Amino acid sequence: MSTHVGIGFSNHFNPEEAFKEAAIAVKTRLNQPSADLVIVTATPEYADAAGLAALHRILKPTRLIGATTSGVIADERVEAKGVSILGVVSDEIFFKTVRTAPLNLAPMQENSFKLARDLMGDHQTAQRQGLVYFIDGIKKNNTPFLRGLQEGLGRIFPIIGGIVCENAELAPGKIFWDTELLTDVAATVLMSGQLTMAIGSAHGWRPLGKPRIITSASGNVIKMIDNKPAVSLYEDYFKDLIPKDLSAGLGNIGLLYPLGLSTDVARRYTIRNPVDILSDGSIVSQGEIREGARVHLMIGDKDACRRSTHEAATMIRDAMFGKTPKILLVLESLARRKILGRSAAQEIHLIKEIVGHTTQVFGLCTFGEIAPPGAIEHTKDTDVQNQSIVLMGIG
Amino acid sequence: MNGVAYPVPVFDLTPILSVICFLLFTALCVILYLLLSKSESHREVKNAYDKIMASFDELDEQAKLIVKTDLELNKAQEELDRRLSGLNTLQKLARNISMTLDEQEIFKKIDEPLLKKLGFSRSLIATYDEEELLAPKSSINMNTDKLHAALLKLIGDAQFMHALKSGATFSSLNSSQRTRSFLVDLFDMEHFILAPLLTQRGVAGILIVGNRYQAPSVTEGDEEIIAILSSQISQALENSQLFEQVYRSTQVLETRVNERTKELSSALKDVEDISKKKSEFISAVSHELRTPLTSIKGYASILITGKVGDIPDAVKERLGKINTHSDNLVKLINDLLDISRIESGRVEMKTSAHYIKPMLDNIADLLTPQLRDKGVVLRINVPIDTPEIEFDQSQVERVFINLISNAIKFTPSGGSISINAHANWEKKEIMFEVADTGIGIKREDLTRIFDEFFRVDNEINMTVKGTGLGLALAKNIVEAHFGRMWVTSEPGVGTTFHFTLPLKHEAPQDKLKKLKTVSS
Repeated sequence: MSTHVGIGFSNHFNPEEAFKEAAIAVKTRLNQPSADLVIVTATPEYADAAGLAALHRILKPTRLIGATTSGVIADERVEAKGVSILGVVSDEIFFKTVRTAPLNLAPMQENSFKLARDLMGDHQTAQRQGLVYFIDGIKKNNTPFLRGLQEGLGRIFPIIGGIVCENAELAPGKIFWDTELLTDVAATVLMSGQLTMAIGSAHGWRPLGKPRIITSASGNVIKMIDNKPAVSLYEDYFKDLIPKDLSAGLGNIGLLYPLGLSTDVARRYTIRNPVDILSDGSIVSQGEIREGARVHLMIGDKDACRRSTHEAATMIRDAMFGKTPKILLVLESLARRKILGRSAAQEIHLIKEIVGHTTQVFGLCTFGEIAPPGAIEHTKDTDVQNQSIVLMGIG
Repeated sequence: MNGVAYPVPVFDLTPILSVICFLLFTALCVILYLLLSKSESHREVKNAYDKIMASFDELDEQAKLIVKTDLELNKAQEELDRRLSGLNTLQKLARNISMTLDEQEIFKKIDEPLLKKLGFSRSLIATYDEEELLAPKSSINMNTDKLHAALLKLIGDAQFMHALKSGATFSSLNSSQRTRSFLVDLFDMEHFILAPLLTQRGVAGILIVGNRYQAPSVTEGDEEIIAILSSQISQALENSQLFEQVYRSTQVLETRVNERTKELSSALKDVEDISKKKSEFISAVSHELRTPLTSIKGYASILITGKVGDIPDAVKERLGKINTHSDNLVKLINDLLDISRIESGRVEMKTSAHYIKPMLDNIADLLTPQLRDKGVVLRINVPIDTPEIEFDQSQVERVFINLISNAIKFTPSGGSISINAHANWEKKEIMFEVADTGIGIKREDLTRIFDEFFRVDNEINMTVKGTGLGLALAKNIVEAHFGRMWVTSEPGVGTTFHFTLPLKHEAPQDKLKKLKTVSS
């Protein structure tokens, strides 16, 4: 029983050549005629059909999913330009990939429930271990999608997901699916078999100022905070810095100072980005909001980011019971990367220090993360989060 | 029927009422007390609540300050990151462009990926052409059809060009409204930085970078980075122009050197041809002269012996002179023949190993009569450890005889001649000196002393006859042995002829070392 993992990266200026370089690096490391699963992450300039075709010629993957991103994570590096490929060949882990129909065509929850049933299909009897998905749609309410999946797979089933966009200006992302590059879909991979899986997530943001109460909310829209239009919270703190035309959102302010919703779990906050501001001053987030919840403006810094990385990596180490994961998937929030700036790669070094240097680290920067709040034990509380680092150790 | 009156019991309700009243009063009091105390507690709670709210508000005010500071820090951090990234890119570019001296290559190095790293999407580099017009050399994402017209308009704006020539950098951040609108319209960039390409000769062109719309505005840091970039490009352009100039000069120089070399080679060949012809001529003439001269000398010798009849003394004396002059002429012809043979390479030096001291002693014996006649002392200083050297003994003897004879000739009575030799192991040669205390040679004659037929103009030469070939022959012999010959002299003090002969043997100490090695 063995699992071979290979990661390749390239930032060759020609996208097709970059795909070739990265794929050849994976092929060399795998030393296998074909790959059972390939995950691709690429910055927007590398969203290239010819490159994808080249990858298929070289790696001959049975299944392929992936997403565009504003930052690729490949082993020791976090790069703002390039393509990164993860290839896995295993006779102990089984993969099944399914994608949704266009997200705009059907209600999110129905769409994802159907997807979950498709995933179960011939994996009904297999030892299902976890699900990873990438979804395009930064301004949608992602909670129904998650609920649909949980309805189909079970409330406590380990799920992590990344909401993808191409840049900090929130251009929608693209999804790699087999030989296609798609928009407005979600692509998933279900893993089953004899493997140990661990999840760790943390955000490192801290509450700032006085707490307020969400006095009116509907779905993923916060209408009123302390009986005032929700955006007044930001106006209160940032005054002149708030753009006059709020139709484009709060820009960087929303990324650097998200909202923290206090949950039942002691001293834990679910972080939500204000992705849009409606004309009545309501704030749109990527997940559902509970009326009556306490809300704080949150603040983060490099040290807090590093502490949370340490926290998430420690969760993985503890849950693996001494086993070093072969693959570590990383979903890193775009805002955290912005805060960490040039020292973003230090996070990966820190993770490897804790989890093990032989682990192959692969991931991408996301605009929203779906994960349990903390370690895998909290999977029943899996929710849409922002500004977090989510790790999934597979070994 | 008589009615019976039953007594009606009468109850006194007063005490009960009193108790009730008391109880009511007490309850009232308690209620009143409770109400009063609750109101007090409420006030306390309210006070506490107000205090908490006030603390929250204070906290919030502090939070606002924190946010403000944090925003500034983030902005500074972003700017710092941008600058570092820009400087890093700039450093790589500087390295790249400094490695090329081709103007076109310099422009090619400024490509789109690099521009993006600097945070811009469009760029233009234009330089002045021969007609003093700005010509585009490299552009990225610019409308090339409109560039010429835009550049013409730019140089047409006297006010702008005046400012540009002073070395000013313009940007959408620092320019006046007029300049800003002017440049935005010309180059279709909302955010831009325009920097002159300044060389030692003045403004050589312009560099403009920027973004169209919906892009972050430029910062002071961007301005600084673009100013550095323009300076790097200017420097590289200047270097390439200098290189071009140097290259062209070198080409011209090389052509000239080649031409001169050809001329000199041709001249040298002519000289060599003439020299060869001269040698051949001398050789031929000498041969032709020697044959009749031998006959003349033979006949004169026969006549002098009286075998063909008695001859008067006066004739005998004249025949003697014929004989002596014939001998001189034979010597002259022989010297000429030797020189021509050595020059033409027809004389092979028959070298073999000899010690120099015995040879010099023989020469001294040979010349003793002359030395004695002249009253000149000859000293031979050859160290005992002077090794054997390879040379043609008869030829080297001629060299010494020539030099010593000359020394005797020019050294007055009572003077001395010394022959010194010492081995120079580093140069692998033996140096000889033939020094006299004679009349010396004038400075102007020293350069011609080895020329054939040259005779120094002095009293001795006027009285003592000579051919002027001795020193030329000696020098030729030494050079044929791969040695050198030169002269030093001071009029009235003396003259020293120096020459070297190659030393092929190893130094005594090396020999000793080898012996030790072998024995150990």
